Amino acid sequence: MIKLNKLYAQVVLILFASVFTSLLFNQLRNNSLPFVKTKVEVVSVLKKTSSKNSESSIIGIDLELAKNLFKENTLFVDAREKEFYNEGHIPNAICFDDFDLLLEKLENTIGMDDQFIVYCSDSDCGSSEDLSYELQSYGYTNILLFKGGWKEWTDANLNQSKHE
Amino acid sequence: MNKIYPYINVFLRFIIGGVFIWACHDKIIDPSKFTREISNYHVMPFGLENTVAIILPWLELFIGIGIIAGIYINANALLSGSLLILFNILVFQAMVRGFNIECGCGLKEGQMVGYGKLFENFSLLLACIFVFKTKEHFLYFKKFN
Repeated sequence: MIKLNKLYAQVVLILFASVFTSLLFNQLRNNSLPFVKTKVEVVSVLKKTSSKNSESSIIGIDLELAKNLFKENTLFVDAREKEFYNEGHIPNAICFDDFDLLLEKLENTIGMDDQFIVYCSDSDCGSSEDLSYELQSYGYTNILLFKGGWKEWTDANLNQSKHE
Repeated sequence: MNKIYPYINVFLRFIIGGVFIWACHDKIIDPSKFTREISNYHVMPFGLENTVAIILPWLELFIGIGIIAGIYINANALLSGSLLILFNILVFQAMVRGFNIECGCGLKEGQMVGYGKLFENFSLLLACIFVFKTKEHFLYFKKFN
């Protein structure tokens, strides 16, 4: 017969060992993840200083600001799966298919302190935010997060491209 | 008890452990990717995707090593079975909600949620139940059981 107390103690020990090791490993790795993500604040106007930040930042932007930056030819990165990108995306947006490929494309297009915008499906999707944090951990310091994403963009009948 | 049970048990332990170790490998190397895959399920309150992405792969690794090495076999079988039930609930809710997403299981690149994944998890769950229920073990550390 299985002794329940012993079983529970073993379960707790395995859980404790896993939590302890994972936290330790996360702290020691170069690009450690924050244990809990902080909420990104959405702004309508960018402060002048934020275009060349000395400190790394991720700033949420609304549709109006995304439109204005699009007109200024700011680079967009589409954080959705490739199949959704192919169905339609913001013109000239880079497709996030493979992280290494994306890094290569970004390196060939912009500098580490240059501004660019990341978006995904809508305000509920988390992939743009996750990608932003990942890019931030690789040294990009001026990332804008278009929270409304593709849904808000298409709802506003703005320019769209399809992948040929 | 059937004399062959301990041998079936050890065979299943190697399969379960192997799957868990294989599954955790990519997640430990690239937790950010795993975070995105968790986000796609739309079930985690904001921010906790990271917490899960940091801890879960290591739990899978400890379970995998433990169950293969014959350390805390019942506890590891219980934990792995519980995780598989949880994974199936997550996959099923994603299917019901119409999400065509990668399962984030770490076994096959690009594996999507679907009945195949549910069946795979359910088969492993049955293996975990067998291991948990078998009283006589083979190739294990008596001191750690």
